[in-house]
Amino acid sequence: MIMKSDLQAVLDQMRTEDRKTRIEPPTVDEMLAYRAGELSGDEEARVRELLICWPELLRALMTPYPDDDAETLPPEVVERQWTAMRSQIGASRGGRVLNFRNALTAIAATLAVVFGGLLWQAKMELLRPRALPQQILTSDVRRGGSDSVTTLDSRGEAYLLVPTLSDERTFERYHFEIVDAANPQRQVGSGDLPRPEGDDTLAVMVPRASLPPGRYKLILYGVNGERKEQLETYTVQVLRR
Amino acid sequence: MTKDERFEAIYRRHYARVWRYYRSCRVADDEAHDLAQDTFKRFYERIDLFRGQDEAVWPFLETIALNVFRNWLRAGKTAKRSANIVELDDPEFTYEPPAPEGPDYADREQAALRRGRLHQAIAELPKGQKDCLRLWMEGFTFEEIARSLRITLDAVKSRLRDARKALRERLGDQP
Repeated sequence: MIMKSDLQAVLDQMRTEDRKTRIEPPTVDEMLAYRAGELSGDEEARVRELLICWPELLRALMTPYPDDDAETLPPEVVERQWTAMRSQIGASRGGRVLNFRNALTAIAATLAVVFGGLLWQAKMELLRPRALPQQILTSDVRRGGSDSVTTLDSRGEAYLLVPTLSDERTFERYHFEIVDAANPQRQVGSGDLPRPEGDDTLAVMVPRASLPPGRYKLILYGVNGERKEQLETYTVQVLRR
Repeated sequence: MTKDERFEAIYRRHYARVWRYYRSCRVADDEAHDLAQDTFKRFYERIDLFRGQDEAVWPFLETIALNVFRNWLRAGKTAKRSANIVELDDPEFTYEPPAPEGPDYADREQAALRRGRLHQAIAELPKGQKDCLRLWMEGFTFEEIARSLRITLDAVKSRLRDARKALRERLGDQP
């Protein structure tokens, strides 16, 4: 005679033994495919074998979903569960992942403010009217051939050179050349200058990019008609920034 | 409708149904509530993936519920494997309660022998009969066994009849 308690004990033992070798139950996809009859013969046999070892899952898989019987639970129970759920999803909303997002957003916002500020500052700097510093040049003769030369102020995008004239004669116009001091054959720039009016000063504007660090000579000529006469030479230097 | 409002509507409409699903899987009342909550929490995390109408949410919820249930079963097994180690010096552990009244040693030995023979007899059954018998022992109805094993109802009855006969022949009237 087979006793029910014996059957139950043997069943428990068989389940325990099975699950020692079949630790992993089938995946949900496998289970759903099994139920839908979408598996091949071998796969179906394998999944069935696993499901027999996990009869709780087999029961869940084969249990038809109950009808929409929301009335079976008292409303206060559903309300209590909903309150608990709301606090849970509220906690998850403020959880680690979202905090991480918040932190990223905060960093991004800070960087945007900083870079925006820097950009604005740079723009304002560019828009600010600025007078180029005049570089008063003393001729080499006046300096008595001293080694000390005029160092050009590197602020701004251009140099405003103002050579002083010791020759009191006036010319129809003036001409200048800038050459490399170490290699006078290499001309860096040249141009004509109008006759000075009012304060009797000449001014030469040279883009800073035209004068890389080094030593240069500015040679000034007075021109009358076809006749061009060298008046002064000014040595200047540009230092590395 | 915001995500939270949509979720609340689905939750209120389907919570009891999910809870009943777990109850029909023979899960205890409290645990069925816990599993239903887990199911809806997962659903909330994936609600953006659900593109259908809210009335058609069941297949989506079912997949999640089955997954939650599967993980719960696995976790139960894991929990047993990773049970706390008890110190041998722990007085709670060494305390021996009075032995309850029950079968004496000879009775226990006889029961062990019976069960050993039954286990052996079941193990030697043809696979089809053994599967049917195991599910029947698990409390599945004939119809549920037929659906689960994808065989006919007559096949289930036939296999179970053959299995019982084989066991009776094997075990006879042995104690």
